[in-house]
Amino acid sequence: MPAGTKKNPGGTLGCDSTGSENSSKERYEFDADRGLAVQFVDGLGDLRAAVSMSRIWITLGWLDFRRETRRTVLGPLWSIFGTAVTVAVLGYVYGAVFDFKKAPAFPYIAGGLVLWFFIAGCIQGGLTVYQGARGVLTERNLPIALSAFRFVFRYFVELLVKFAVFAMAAIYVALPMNENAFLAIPGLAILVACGFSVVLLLGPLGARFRDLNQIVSPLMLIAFLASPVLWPQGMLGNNVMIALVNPFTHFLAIVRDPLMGSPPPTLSLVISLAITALCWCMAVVTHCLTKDRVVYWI
Amino acid sequence: MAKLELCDVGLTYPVYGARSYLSGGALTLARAGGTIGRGHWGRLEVEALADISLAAEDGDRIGILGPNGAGKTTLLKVVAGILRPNRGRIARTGKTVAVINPSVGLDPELTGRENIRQIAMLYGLTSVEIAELHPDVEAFTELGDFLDLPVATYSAGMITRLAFGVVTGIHPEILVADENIGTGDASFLQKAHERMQAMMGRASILLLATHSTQTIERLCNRAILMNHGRLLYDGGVQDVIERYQKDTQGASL
Repeated sequence: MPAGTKKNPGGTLGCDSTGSENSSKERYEFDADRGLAVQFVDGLGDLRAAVSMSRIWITLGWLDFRRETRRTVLGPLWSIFGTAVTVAVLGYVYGAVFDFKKAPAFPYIAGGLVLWFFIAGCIQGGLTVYQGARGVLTERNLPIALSAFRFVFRYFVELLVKFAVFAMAAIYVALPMNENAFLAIPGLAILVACGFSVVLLLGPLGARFRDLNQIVSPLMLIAFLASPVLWPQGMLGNNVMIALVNPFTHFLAIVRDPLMGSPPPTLSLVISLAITALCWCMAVVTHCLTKDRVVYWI
Repeated sequence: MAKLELCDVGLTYPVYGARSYLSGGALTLARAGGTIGRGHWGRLEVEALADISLAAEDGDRIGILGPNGAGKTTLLKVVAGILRPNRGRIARTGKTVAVINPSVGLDPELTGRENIRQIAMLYGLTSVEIAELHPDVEAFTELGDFLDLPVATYSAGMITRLAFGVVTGIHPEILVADENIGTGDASFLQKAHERMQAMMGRASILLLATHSTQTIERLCNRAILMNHGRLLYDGGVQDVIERYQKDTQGASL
């Protein structure tokens, strides 16, 4: 195999590179022997292109969300309705089991569940996101990150819609909300930023290593039960470390605590920001190293 | 000015989940398809392209001939940037569109109009370009009020009209096309041909994969012959067609 073809062979095989015309024309260059640095420039270029096509993944993500309940009588209200029933039942049961004193059970559980749907959606769905986008990846010349962003946006829309359940629960128990509630917005921004990185990171890994999905699925149930989604953190008493070593605790806290009336814990803000930064670093590196191979793995 | 260059391009598909099919480590060459071999850790691989060098400039209309599995579509996808090769280099200048499977993104529950938008989006068109595309596609498809009905109510031919109408409404400088993209009934066939030819005429460079030597005679001014992932011959249309017909009648297929 003539794999050792070096750059600038001086016109052999007609491969002279005349870089004279550099107008606004679309240019595409690829060299299988390119170094790691070029690979990272390419990978970042793919990300930048995907970001600049936000109109496309926002529209398609929205259509993906609408598709699920199309032709139903209630439409998107179904995703609110289903969650509301869950919250109503679990609120009664867990409110009684854990004897919620400080935090009213219904809005607490509603907030926790709605956030958990997003978290679990990004982790589990992220592992199969590129398999799901097979048609686009194998037939269209688009940045592959576009398919990942489209997926996260779909879950983000669902998260916003389902927040209606929290609002209903808050009204039902006459939750005394205060100005701290606005602090949930930066918390939500951190959570969603982390969601984008997690899907970008897990997409290629899940496409290449199919076992991951089988391993992660049961782990998500454990994570759900071990995280303070349904039960109040305060119940742990002296064993509060059980919650604090769990990263999910902090992502739940930075959005839910402000909504429940208390400012977000500083520790949770710091940890969730650090995790988000770490996830983005890993995601960008993974993306740059794998983006050209993903299409062969799906 | 559009330009396209491929230099020593080689592409190998990894095969997952088929480890035990072949015995020994020998390379296998079937009558059709690429070369089956073994790569890292004994994993099966199919070599779909090997040592492909090709240069094209404005005005080149290249027909690609070859039996099934010769690597025609893979070559088109490499040129379009959908597949990155394992070996070699590729450079091109000019807006490129690949017409290989036009109906990707088609959702039977969306209306015709919504599908026009969604298919066009997946070709990376801007909202301005999509707005310009709509009247053109609507007129061409002759679907009338059906455009406001879900595509699930369409016949197969009507769906083809829709998807075909969208892709052929795009104006690329480099057009990469697989001929087998479907057509429809006889009256539509004529219109489809004219529209496809108009699209090819607008493009500066055309790469057209096909089995039909007539199509190549009609549309191309240059042809290449491929088999088992290799570019066997690159030259004038008549020469390449003769070679192809000789090979087809001979032992190789």
